[in-house]
Amino acid sequence: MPEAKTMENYTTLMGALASTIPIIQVRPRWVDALASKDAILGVQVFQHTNCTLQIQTALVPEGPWTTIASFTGSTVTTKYFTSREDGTNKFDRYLRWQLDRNAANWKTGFKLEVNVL
Amino acid sequence: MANRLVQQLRTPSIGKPDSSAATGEGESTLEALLNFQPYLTLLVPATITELILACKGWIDGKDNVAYTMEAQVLHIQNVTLHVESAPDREGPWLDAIAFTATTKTMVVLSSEGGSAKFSRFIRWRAEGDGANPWEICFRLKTMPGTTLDRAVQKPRVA
Amino acid sequence: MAGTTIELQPRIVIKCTMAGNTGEIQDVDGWVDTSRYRVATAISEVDMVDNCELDLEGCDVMGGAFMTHAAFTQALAAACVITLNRNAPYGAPEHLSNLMRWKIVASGNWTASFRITLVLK
Repeated sequence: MPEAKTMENYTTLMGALASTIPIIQVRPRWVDALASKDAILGVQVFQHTNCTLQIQTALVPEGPWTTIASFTGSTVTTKYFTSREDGTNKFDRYLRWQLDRNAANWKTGFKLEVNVL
Repeated sequence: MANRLVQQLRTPSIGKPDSSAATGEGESTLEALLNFQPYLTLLVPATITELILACKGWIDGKDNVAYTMEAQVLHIQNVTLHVESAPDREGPWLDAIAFTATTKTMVVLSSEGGSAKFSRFIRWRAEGDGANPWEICFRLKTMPGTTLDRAVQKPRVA
Repeated sequence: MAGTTIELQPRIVIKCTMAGNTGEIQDVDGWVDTSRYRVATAISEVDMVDNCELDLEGCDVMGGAFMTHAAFTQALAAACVITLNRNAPYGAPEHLSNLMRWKIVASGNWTASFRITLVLK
């Protein structure tokens, strides 16, 4: 029986300087949903300033990566993605997060749980 | 065995990237205990009143009567860090010990008595004061104490 | 010997307001044994260093004296890459030691946010 997997446990990231180089989730933690058609993502974003947290998907690890969800403030929410139809909530195979550091003194804290079906 | 595990340095696995610190998922029991909660900093708005360790990281202490817990709370603001215990995953959860100030301390969680009691499952819960944004930076390490087998004196078999 | 990549420290944020705290040293179970390798590339991504100094240290023998390979006192706009080589003279900052760790030296309230990755060959 599928069960929720922690895509990213409680994580706080912060920095003094803005950067055009995003922070990307380490590859061993990417979700590989090869045999799945649906994904449910539980998102908790805590204090969030001057940065953007994106959830991205791609067919192969090299990309191209498409953003399917984006967070710029605190939130507790659930996102639903599917491979059954083309649309804004379509996911391909891999799921990962990316953090864009938009301005100086950025910070974020978040936790991501995913259930692939 | 515990001392050797603590002293053993990470020797990189050939060809395998080593990922992050303990998450409580898929690791050896002793290593997960020692890194019950690696350094974690949380910066949380007032609208989120509590955060709880994911259940996969909870300690199941059914085979141990005691745990030594080393707690380091480096920063704490408008929040209480509860280390709590319950006989079942569903609760009821009761405090074994709670932290409201910075500290570096060692506590014995015991099923045999003492001020810091635990029954079976152990987890942490950070509870904000409900009115202000809250922040905390802490780490928790645990070491199992005497197991039941060694603790119980068995009668001689005639 | 095949090379490998290992995170000496995954991304971490430590914020300290504890009176009397003078910093932190990485736990020994996080140190990396590099004795089987000749060359190491250390990539340090330092996002924040407030009121403290982040040091990348090395030592050849457990319990011995640590030498500082790199020291960071402010956030970096780009990752810092340094190369360590076992052929470099012992005692030189670029000498690859057998054991590597990070250490934070601080006084007062401090915050550090960083990640250190090692490529070992």
